Formats: sequence, C-alpha cells, structure tokens
Amino acid sequence: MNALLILATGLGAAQTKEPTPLERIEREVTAVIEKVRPSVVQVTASFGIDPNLPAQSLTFSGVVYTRDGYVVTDAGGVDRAVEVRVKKGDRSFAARLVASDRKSGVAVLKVEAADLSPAALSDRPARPGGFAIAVGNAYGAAGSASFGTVNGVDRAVVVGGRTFDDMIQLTTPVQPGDCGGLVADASGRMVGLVHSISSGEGRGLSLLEFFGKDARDLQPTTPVSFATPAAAVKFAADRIIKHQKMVRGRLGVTARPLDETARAQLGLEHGAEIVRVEPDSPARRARLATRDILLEFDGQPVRDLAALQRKVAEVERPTAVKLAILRNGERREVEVEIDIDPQR
Amino acid sequence: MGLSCEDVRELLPLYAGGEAAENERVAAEAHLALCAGCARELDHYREMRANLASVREEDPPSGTWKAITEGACARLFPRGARRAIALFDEALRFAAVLAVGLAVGVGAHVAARPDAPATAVVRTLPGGGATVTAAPVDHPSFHLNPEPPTRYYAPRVNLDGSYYLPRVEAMPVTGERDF
Repeated sequence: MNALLILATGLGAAQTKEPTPLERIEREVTAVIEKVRPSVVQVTASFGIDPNLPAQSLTFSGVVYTRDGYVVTDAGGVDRAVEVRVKKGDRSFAARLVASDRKSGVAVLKVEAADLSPAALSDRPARPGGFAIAVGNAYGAAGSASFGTVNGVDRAVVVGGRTFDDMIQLTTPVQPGDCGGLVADASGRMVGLVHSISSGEGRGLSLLEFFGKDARDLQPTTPVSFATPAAAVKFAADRIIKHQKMVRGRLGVTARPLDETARAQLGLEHGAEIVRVEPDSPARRARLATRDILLEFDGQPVRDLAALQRKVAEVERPTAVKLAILRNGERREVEVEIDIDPQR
Repeated sequence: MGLSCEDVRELLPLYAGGEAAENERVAAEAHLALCAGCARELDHYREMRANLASVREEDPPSGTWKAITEGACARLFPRGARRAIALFDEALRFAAVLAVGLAVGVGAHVAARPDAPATAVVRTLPGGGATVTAAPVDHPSFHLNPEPPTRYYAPRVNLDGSYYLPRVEAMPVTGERDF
C-alpha cells in the first residue's frame, strides 16, 4: 500500500506542469507590485483659491522615504498648497511640506507616523529596455499598477516652464493621480518617481493639413511617460531631511557642450559654451558672459556637463572655485564663489 | 364554311403584311375573290400602309408642324384667346425653369450646411471630480446609403483636473544644462 502511494505521488509530480516563461514573468511582476505597493501613498493637496467656495484640491501619489514619516512626492503638486494630507489604506495623516527642490521637482513631506514602509532605492540607474513597473493612485484608485519598459534615459523635458534634466522615459502607462508614484525595476527597487506625461499628439506632416483639417483631428500617438531618476530623488530628499530645506550649489549659468565643428575651429578637445547667465548669480558677479567657453572647473577639464552640473549641485556651503574660460580667443582664469540656490 | 366579312377584316392587317397563317390566307383569298367590299377594304389598307411607310422614311417639309398647330388653334380658339394662350405658355415655361433652378440651389445649400450642434447631456458623478457627457456621435454610413446617418450617444467621462499628472510642453535636445 505504501509502495502504491509513493508511486502515485511520483507519477503526479511527473505530470505537474512547469510554468511557462510568460507565467513566470507574470508571477515576478505581480510579486514586485506587492512588494512596493506598501510604500506608495496617496497625497491630497488643497488650495484655498476662493474663500466662498470649497477648497480646490489635487490628488496624486507619494513614496514613503523613511520609516519615521518622510514622504517624497512631486513638487508641482504641493506648490502653494494650503493643506496637504497623506493617506495610506484607511489611515490619513496631516502632512507638512518640509521643502521642495525646484531643479529636480522633488518635494519632501513629513507625517507623524512611525511604522511606514519605506521604498528601497536602486543604486543603479535605469537602463533602456529595463522593466519599469509604476504604482500610483490613478484617478484616486489606491495602488494602481502598470507595467512597461524604459524607453530612454537622460531626457530633458519642459514642464510648467521649467526644464528637468536626466529624466527617465518610459513606455509604462500612467494616469492622472499617478504623479509622484513609484517606478520600480524588476527587482522591486525604486528607479524613479512618476513625473509627467507627453501630450501624445502627433503633428507629423499629413495630407489632412493640406485640406485645412485641424491637427486635433489627427489620431493621437501613444503618450510617453517620464520619471525623476532615483538618484535625483535621493539627492534632494537627503539634503532636505538633513538641512530641513533644499541645499544645492549654484553657479548661475546655462551651458551647452561644444560640438565637433566648434571644437575643431577653436582647436579644443573639450569645453562648454555659456549661453545664458542668471542675473544676481555667482556667474554674473564673476563677470562671466554668454559665449564664454568653460574650459576647466576647479582644475578639471570640462568634458561632461552632467557631471559638472552634479559637482556644482553637491556644494553645501558657499565655496570659491577657480574657472578657466576662453573669451574672444584668449584664455582667462576666473575665480567664482559657488553659492546656494535660492530656490526661486 | 367560308369566312365572314367581319372575320376577313380582322385578318386584313396580317394578310396585308404577309403574316397570316396558311389556312387563314387561303380562306381570306377565297372570300376576297367573291366579296368586292372586302377587296376594296384591302386596297385601302394597303394604300395606307404604303403612305405610312413613306412618311417614316423622310422628315416632313419645313413649316408642317407650325401649319398644323396654327390650323388647329384657329379652328379651336377665337383670335384674342390665342394670344393669351401663347403668353400663358411662355410664362409657364419660365416658371418651370425658375422652379427647377430654385430647387437645385436650395438643395445644394442645405447639403453644404453643417449639422446643427448636437445637444449633450452632462451629469456629475457622485463625489464630484468627474462629469459624464453623453453626446450624439454620427455613425459613418456608406455614402450611397439613402438612409440618414445613424446617431448614437456615446458616454464620455470628463475629468476636471482633480487628479494630477502634468503634461510635458517640450523635449529640448540642445544638450543645455543650467547649474
């Protein structure tokens, strides 16, 4: 009898169906969603525009950053809010806006809670083709999840008149209410914070335009979503938590890399051209001007503008730095004092 | 028993055109040989056929129809009435042309006019934040279909912006960075 039982168990095991690759992927994706969902909260910001009317409000998402109640979210959503509340499950907390970073668009809220589930941040940047699983609050539905991939990285987008650099471009569908939500990779670590969505309207050349049809008659293309990279979220959140305000170094210039033709004409191997100088900034005070070529920053050649941007941002207190510039074909040494971004 | 005169007169068109059956032809010839009245009838019929055949082969002389019309009017209507009738005919002709022209113009204008805006039904969902609009949507139909286009109401949820997700205004590729 025992032998028969053992034989039947063996046969049953042999006939158990192995999961297909697709089933395994599905299982992994749902596991990631279940893992990160506890870290996603709903944020409601109220704006008292007209005292005679009920307060206007915006609902979106946030991610728990620390167990003791720091929450990161999108700065645009809480800008000028008179009241912010954070909701997790059936618990609702009054939230205090600690500070926002205008450069990355990250805001840090504080709620009085001691047992929240912080998200685990990835220490590797997102890569094109990688999985991107977004969890947010689409249309107020808590824990809404969607699945996609990383389209591209290091994208610049303009939202509300501001330029945000190094954004992650995603195929992951996001909906109103998902802004500030968590974007996770295949291991369940946060790679980004949902930021914005493209309009999705194609305006390619079309015969319709010849016939005077409005572009809105065209079928929209698939929208693309964007996320703030986890490294930028971590930088802003850590600085805000440490100083209770955003501390970011500022030079006060906009620069662009020299292209190959310009470098050949100038006989340079590296450098960046200043295209704009901010008024009332360290650069203006040091008499830097547009069309100056930045050659060296603090003794290091300017080869990578992204790295230079990070280097300046990391300054925590006013710091004197030597720059080498090229102006009208003449090399000059300039001393400039990096100050702290006033977050205007 | 031979054919009667009445029978033969009924056969005359076929007999004269050579289309009578053999037995009918023999019976008709036997009767015609003995009946002068039917023989004269046959001659008159053949003369009329010949005259009709010659009329089809060529147009009537110029002025024939006018002469016929004027002659008929002169016999039917007094002199004063003839002028009134002529004027009335001209007026009627003009009115007919005008009516056709107006019909074509009005029809073209109606076809080119855009449809009147459809009225939509709007209601707010409980809890606010969203409205449902039911607006008529023209169902496209094959252009040769004589039936008017079918309209059905398609509900559409409109959100009033309470759920936040900003839109990208531009994606600059200049490589510029500010710091």
